[in-house]
Amino acid sequence: MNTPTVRSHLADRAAAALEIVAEIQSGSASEESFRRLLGLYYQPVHHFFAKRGFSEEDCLDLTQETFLGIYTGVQAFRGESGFDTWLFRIATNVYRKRWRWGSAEKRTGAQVPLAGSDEAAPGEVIPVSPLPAPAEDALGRERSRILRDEIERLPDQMRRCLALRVYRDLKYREIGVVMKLSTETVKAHLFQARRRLQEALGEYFGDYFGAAFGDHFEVAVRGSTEETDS
Amino acid sequence: MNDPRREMKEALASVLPDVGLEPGNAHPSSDELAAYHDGELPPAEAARVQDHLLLCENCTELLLDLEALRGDPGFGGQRPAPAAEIEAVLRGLRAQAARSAPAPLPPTAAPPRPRERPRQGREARWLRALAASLLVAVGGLSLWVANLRGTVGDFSRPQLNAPILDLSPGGARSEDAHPTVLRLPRRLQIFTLVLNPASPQSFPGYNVEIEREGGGVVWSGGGLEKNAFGSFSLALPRVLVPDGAYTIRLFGHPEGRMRGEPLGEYHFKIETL
Repeated sequence: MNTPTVRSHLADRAAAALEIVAEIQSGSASEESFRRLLGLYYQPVHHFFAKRGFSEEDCLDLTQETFLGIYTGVQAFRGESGFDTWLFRIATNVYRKRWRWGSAEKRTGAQVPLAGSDEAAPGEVIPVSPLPAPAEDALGRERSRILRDEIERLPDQMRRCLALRVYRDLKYREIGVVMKLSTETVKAHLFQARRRLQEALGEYFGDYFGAAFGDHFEVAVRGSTEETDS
Repeated sequence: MNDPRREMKEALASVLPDVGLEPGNAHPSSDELAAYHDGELPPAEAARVQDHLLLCENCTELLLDLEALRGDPGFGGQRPAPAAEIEAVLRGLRAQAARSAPAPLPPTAAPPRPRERPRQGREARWLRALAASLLVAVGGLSLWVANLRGTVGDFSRPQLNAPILDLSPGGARSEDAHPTVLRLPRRLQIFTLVLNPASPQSFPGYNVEIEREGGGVVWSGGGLEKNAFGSFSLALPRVLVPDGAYTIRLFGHPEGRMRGEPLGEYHFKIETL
């Protein structure tokens, strides 16, 4: 994804943004300067809020608030972290402010849960899974204990990659961002984790790990370098 | 009977670091997330942030967005930004600039300038612009002070029989006629409107917008407070609202939102007796 052309495009955008910011800081900016800045970053900022499930109206509000944050804070921007990072900080603060407000509103009961909530409506029947038989339950607990012990024996970084993959359903590339590792290193960790668990627990778990790691992992084990789990 | 993936998740959950995501356990700040992304945090801090990221979906998403913002030109799509939305943001910026401008935002575009200019020429131009601005500001300030003296003189004595108009959304409480007509003595300097909101809902803040028929917004601002009767008092100087038809819009401002919830629209007309 990050080809030289892409890098060049992003570098150009960041450089243009810095030029505009310098104009604003020096007082030589015009409305046209802000229009150019909006042209460069309106869509990414809008997308930042849209992917968090805000309505279109709220996205417009939040995007506007982010650019107001840029406008009011521009004199304090020193350029040490790059414009994109600064923009991210402002957008994140705007988002969290709204998030806290939304949470507070929920606490006062002003918002209703979305459809699909786990909670049943009053009078609605809640399906309950049948309780396991005592022997089955004991076996299950024993399997869980063995599995937990083996996971604890994995090296810390490997265990964290495993957690992000299985527990959090992240892609290899995303795990790499969180762990600050290359995608290849993440794949190698996951391959090793699976091999170790299979070797240690195969007797008890059979072909358990294929399903536990998910189908996508199979591709990585076969040596594909493509990100297949998009 | 077992769901391997679920069983694995449960086993992992029991061995993950106990960072706690309940309220009170702070999420990393946006600065910390950005510094973590850039590898600028000290090891102990980086480890704390990473522990948090293992469990916190929200912060992970933010971190991945920063990565995408800096590395994926497709983040947000490749389409140009809609012109109408750009204009809406610019309107907000203009309003902000009018309220408290940290940097001037002239309403018209500056003429394009050559990219390379001699430094001395630029400085001289900047100084000339500054001097001109100061001159205009000093002149404007003097006029304003002179005008203020006259106004303060008028307000230094009681405004006898100053009318109070009780407005409900759409018209007045006392009459169904629309719009309400307020006839004011010529020498009266100020009068009070009581705005009754359409909804009893409370907000952290309120603002109003006064629009003259066919003349645009004459004033807008916040700072209103609901009184014990659930209404709002608004004292208006005559100089702000000369004879004519007006609409006042009242908004409730939820915390952290640019756009308020409309609470009422009040129409009235002012005539001089």
